[in-house]
Amino acid sequence: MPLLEIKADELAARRLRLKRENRKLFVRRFLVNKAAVTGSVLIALVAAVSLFAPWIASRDPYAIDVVNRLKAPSAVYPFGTDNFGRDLLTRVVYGTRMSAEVGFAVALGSSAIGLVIGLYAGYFKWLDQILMRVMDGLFAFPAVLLAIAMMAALGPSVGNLILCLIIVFVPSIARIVRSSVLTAKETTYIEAMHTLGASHNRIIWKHILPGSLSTLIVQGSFIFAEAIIVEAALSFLGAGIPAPTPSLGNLLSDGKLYIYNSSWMTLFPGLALVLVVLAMNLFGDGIRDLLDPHARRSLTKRLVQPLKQRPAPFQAGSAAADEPLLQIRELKTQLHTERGRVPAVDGVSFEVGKGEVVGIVGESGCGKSATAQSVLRLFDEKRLAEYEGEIRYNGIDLLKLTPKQMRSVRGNEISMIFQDPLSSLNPVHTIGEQIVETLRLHRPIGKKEAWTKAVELLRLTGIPAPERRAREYPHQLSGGMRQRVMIAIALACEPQLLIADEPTTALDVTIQAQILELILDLNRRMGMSVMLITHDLGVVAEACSRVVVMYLGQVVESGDVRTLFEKPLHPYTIGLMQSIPRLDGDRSQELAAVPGSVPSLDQLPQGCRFAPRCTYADDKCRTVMPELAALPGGDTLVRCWHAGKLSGMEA
Amino acid sequence: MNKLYRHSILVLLLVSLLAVYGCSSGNGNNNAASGADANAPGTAEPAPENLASELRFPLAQQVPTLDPHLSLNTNVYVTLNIFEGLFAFDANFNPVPMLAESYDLSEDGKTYTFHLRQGVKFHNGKELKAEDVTASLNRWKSLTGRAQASLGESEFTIKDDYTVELALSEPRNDIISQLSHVLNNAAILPKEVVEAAGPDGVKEYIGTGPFKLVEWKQDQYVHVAKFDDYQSVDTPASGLSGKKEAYLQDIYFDIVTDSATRFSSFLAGTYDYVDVTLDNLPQVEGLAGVTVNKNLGSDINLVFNKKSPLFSNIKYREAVAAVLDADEILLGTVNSPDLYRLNPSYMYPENTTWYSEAGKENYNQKNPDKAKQLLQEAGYSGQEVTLLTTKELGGSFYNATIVLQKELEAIGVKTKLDINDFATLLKKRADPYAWDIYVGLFTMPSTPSQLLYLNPTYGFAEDAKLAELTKQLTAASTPEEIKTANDALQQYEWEYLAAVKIGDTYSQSATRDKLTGLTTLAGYPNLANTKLSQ
Amino acid sequence: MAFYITRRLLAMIPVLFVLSVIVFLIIYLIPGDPAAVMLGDGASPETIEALREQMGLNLPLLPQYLRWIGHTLQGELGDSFFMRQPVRTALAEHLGPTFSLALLAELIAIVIAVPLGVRAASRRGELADKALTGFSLFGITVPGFVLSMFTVLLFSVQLKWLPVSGYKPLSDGLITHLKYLILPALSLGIVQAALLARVTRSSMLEVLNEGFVKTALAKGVSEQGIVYRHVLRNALLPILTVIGGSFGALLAGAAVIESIFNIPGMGQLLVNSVQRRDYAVIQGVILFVAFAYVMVNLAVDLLCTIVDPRVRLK
Repeated sequence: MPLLEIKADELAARRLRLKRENRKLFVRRFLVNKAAVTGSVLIALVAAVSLFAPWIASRDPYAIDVVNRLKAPSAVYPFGTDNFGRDLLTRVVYGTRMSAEVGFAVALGSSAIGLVIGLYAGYFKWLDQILMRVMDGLFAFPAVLLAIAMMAALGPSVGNLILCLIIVFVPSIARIVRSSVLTAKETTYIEAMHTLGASHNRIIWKHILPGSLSTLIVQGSFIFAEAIIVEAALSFLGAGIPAPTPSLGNLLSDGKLYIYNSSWMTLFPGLALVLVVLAMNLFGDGIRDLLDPHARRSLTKRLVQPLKQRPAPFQAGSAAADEPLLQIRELKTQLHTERGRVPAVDGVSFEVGKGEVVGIVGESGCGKSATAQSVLRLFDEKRLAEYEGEIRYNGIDLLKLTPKQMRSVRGNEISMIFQDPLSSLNPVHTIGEQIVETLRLHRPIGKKEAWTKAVELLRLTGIPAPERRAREYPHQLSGGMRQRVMIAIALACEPQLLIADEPTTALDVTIQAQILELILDLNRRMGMSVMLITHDLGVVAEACSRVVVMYLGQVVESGDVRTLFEKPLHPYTIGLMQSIPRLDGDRSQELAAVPGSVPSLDQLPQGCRFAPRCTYADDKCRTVMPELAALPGGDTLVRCWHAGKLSGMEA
Repeated sequence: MNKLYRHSILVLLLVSLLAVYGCSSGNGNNNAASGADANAPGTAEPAPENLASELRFPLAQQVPTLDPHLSLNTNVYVTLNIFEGLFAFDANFNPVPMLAESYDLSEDGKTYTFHLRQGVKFHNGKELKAEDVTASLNRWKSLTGRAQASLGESEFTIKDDYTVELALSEPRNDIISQLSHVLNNAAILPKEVVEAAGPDGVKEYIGTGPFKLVEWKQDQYVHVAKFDDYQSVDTPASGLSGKKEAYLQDIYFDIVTDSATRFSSFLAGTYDYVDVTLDNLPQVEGLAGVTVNKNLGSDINLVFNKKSPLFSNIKYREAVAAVLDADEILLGTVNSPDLYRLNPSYMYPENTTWYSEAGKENYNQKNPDKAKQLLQEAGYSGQEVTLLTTKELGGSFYNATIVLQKELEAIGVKTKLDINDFATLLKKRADPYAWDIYVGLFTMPSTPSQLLYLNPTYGFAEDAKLAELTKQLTAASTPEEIKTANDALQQYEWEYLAAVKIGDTYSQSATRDKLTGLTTLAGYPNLANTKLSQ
Repeated sequence: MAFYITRRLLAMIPVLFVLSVIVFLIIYLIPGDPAAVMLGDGASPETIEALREQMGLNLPLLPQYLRWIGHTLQGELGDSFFMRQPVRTALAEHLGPTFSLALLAELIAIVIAVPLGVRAASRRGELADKALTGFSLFGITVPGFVLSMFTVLLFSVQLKWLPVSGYKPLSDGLITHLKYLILPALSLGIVQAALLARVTRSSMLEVLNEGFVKTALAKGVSEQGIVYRHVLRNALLPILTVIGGSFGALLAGAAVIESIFNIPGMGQLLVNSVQRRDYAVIQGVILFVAFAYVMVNLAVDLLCTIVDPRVRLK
């Protein structure tokens, strides 16, 4: 059943579900985000105080009553009185309202104007020059002078102050919006819009703007807080909100002369100021965390059971000759994501022998990468991952090592290379420095010697002019060369095992072959085992001696590569093999594909995980999880109730 | 390439940092060449054993100019130590000869002849002669509104080297007072210095006082040092007159505008004298070795713009005078009943010659009903009254105004508070279209003729009878004539209401006991004769 | 590189020009004038008028502006009315204190904020992170003058370790110089630190998500090594930018702190000049501040090229 047959209304239904899910997820994340919640609560409090000021504080904030001046807080005057006998509670309430109004007006005004300026400046290059020069000029203009000057020239009033502060804050918003526009302009999405003939304005307002909105909200909330503080400073210099109108700034300024004996005049406005500023800053922080795609913090608190750290006796490379180099037994890796606890690796077992090249295959999300990273324990064990099972390297269980011991394994006994070589290399260190780092971490070797060795390694991995290259930075190299560099780094300490996580996926096809060849060459020459993770069956066929097929965190089939290709046992593997297009295949036939798609790890089906997509599934499959076992008479391990019966099907 | 590049940038940045330090001369060149700085500060003989040679004295406001004939109130703290006049007041506000030895007044009271002391040296070594006196006093006259009002067209003329004459067109009894009061600062400078002065002031600050100017760092401090050739008079020290002996070698007047900083500095021991606010008082009251002094300060007056639409009408002025609750305003200004006193006279009771109680029934009326009645009679229909004020100068102007505002609003007058910085305030006050009422603190002069608000340029008083009574006042010569004329003027003033007197205020200061010999007059400290023990 | 620097300096000119026009206009609009301020309360109108004539305040707007521009281009910034010295000299004298103060405040901020931010990022959600949040909110909300009040009470009045206020130049000795600057620098620095700590933290967090962190981990680098050798340097760019921006703002003078601690810096100069309407000085200060701001930005940009080799001079 090809994908294309999925009906339109099913699609719509699915989209709706997704939307609802996302919203629920957002709410969940929001509620867990303490900053956002606290901030919102405080904001609501401030808003309530501002709106209901006349009811909360029934006195007149301007009512002078000199007889009752400087009274300490009491039942009659909960916050005390100031030097004119005015009730401080009333003044603080109205002052909070005034400051909140100013903050809001300034945040709104500067955001709106800054947004427009930033959008157009970022979009139209010629406008950019002019606008940004003016913005720079304004930015450099001291806010203090501007305020004093404007108040003197235009007259002291709240409106003029708000205007002044808007002018002060517009440049920073414009700058931020402008840079986000510049980034957005580069995206292919926007280029596509151009090609489709959308007008400039349409592109700006409909397509670029939404991306900048989130930053705007965050910045706006910070400006709210800052505007209030600037007003307080200006009041101190006499250029803030004109007296006797209460504002938090004015109140603080008034209180200064009475701070020793009548400290309440400073204390309560100060607390109110802290409250308002805190509210906005917390809120802004929270929203920023929420909108940050990387901040997928776990919903649960810290893991209760970090791995036991019993210092185990540890020596390198001392397994018996016939023992496999790496033995993974019932490895379970639970990851704590925002969707809850996810069993990324769910009972995986396999082995890698000495000098072997073992391929780990599967679709995205099947757990192959997670398995690889579990071997080196790369996940954050305090917050993210929990391990179970055993990972025996040369007889030693890696999961029981102390962090320090583990560090001496990484890069030394077992090395790993990753998929995207550009982001995997540190952009601010030279190539040579990055190789030298590995060397000096694990070997007592001097800088000069290490550098020479590094150059050697580069030569070894086929990089021309290695002396020159060693001094260059990653961004100066091509993709293929960067991957070679990664390999050089990985090889530096002559590891016994190299874990290659999709090493060729991000490369051009011709380069892919070269890199693969390099890895195999090193495997042959150095006897280094390789755990090769890929979703490309062609690579597996070429490079690996054994294959492990994974699906949804489990191994579903593992065995000799020839056998697997010629006689796949598991329906999933069968499907995979069938889906490889062949040059000599029958072109009149439809391209076979494994129907359906991989469900997410938090919605695992009962029973066999492949059952929903399996053509041969029956009730038993759907209810009981099959074990990974070998068929009588074979070495291949397979996890399927009907494995034996299906072996008759041709690949 | 990389290393070289990196290093060159770092070097460049370092060099620019050093360049900035080099360009900035935070050490500062000395400004205000004083001509007398041939002596390095304090090179005279060391102070007697247990006395300190240096005193640091805090000033609350900046000093825009040290020219004694300009910007009178703000620089007096400093200038009264550097310059002297022909006369000076003693503690009872009686004029005592200072640079003059004596004076004669002609029979008709129109001609003054001043006999100068001989051998008095300026800070630049020149001897004081008549030419210096005439140059200085004629300049003083041309720059001071009060002096012009008193002296009219008359000029000081040279009789001989040590005699100066002043011929008036009519007799005036306030001439000597004007030449004495520190408020007017009729200081004597060398003729050359006066002639070299531009409209922005003299270029050198040479006087005859016990201290000479060494350095003036604008906005930071003024440094004066003992003038070794000071010629003191022999009469006992009283007020700002009499014997002056400089026990201190150097005085630094530090400009510290923040009151909390001044006070903290006092507590920390940097200063031995500080002005004390109500809030700070408890901290010094019980402090060992510290004495708290209460000094009579300014008085508070409400001035009407007599050209304004409302207040050119006397009924409105009477209404305001009626509703005025002086106690409330004073309390709101100084915050404590100990720091003010009621006083219906435009002069201080201590000034026995010029104090009068005439017209006091119009003082502090506290009568809102009467006020409302008057408003109605005048036909008040809700026009807005502009109250001109500033938050600067310590905040007292603002405090008084805001209490007044409350009192006015309580009887239904619509008011608008117009708060400005000092510079704008000065400008607006000179503009008859810009304000209606101005409440201010005024330094008390020694004679009513010197009252600012009776002067036409201040509040636009243009009343024939007022002018006439003022003239009679200054022409009076005997104590009886003075009393009659004074009562008449004050009585009329309470009817005409150019201004409304509110009350007198006190200020407090704290002095460490190891600082002795400090006397004040009209709130201004006299630092001659001051000793500071170690 | 020299070419780049020259180009940047030239690009500054239109900015300064725009600023000068804005400043001039604003000053022209403000009521009040220096003559009245100088001559004070009791001066007669004639005296004031004479002084105004001499100060050239009665000329119409455009000739005044042109005269000023002409002088400025020749390096002649004019004379200060109240300080009786050329504006140039006034600027030079007030630059030192502000520069020292800004530098010290910035150093304090960096010393507090960067380690705190780094620690909070690497120990996210734990005590260090919470402490940072608390500290940064404290630093942002507590007004400078309140902070300074407490520090003065403690260190100057109670302990008598430090002077209450004032300023001593570098030529009086480094220790003395620092003694007078440390309290105001602390008041300024803590506020700066609050902002900087947050930026450090968020920048570090962003970098922590980058791929090469995993590579470093896989190489066996310790947590310390990852944080300081790998992540921090990559996170520096936004941090440097913020430092540059805040330093520039400090150069405009932290007017309030300078007035409390009596430091004769740019901020104090600016506020006093505005209050007195000392026009030439106001204009000089604004231009200077803008110039300094541009220079600081330039320095930061140059530093960025050292820190991150991907950033090229354009």
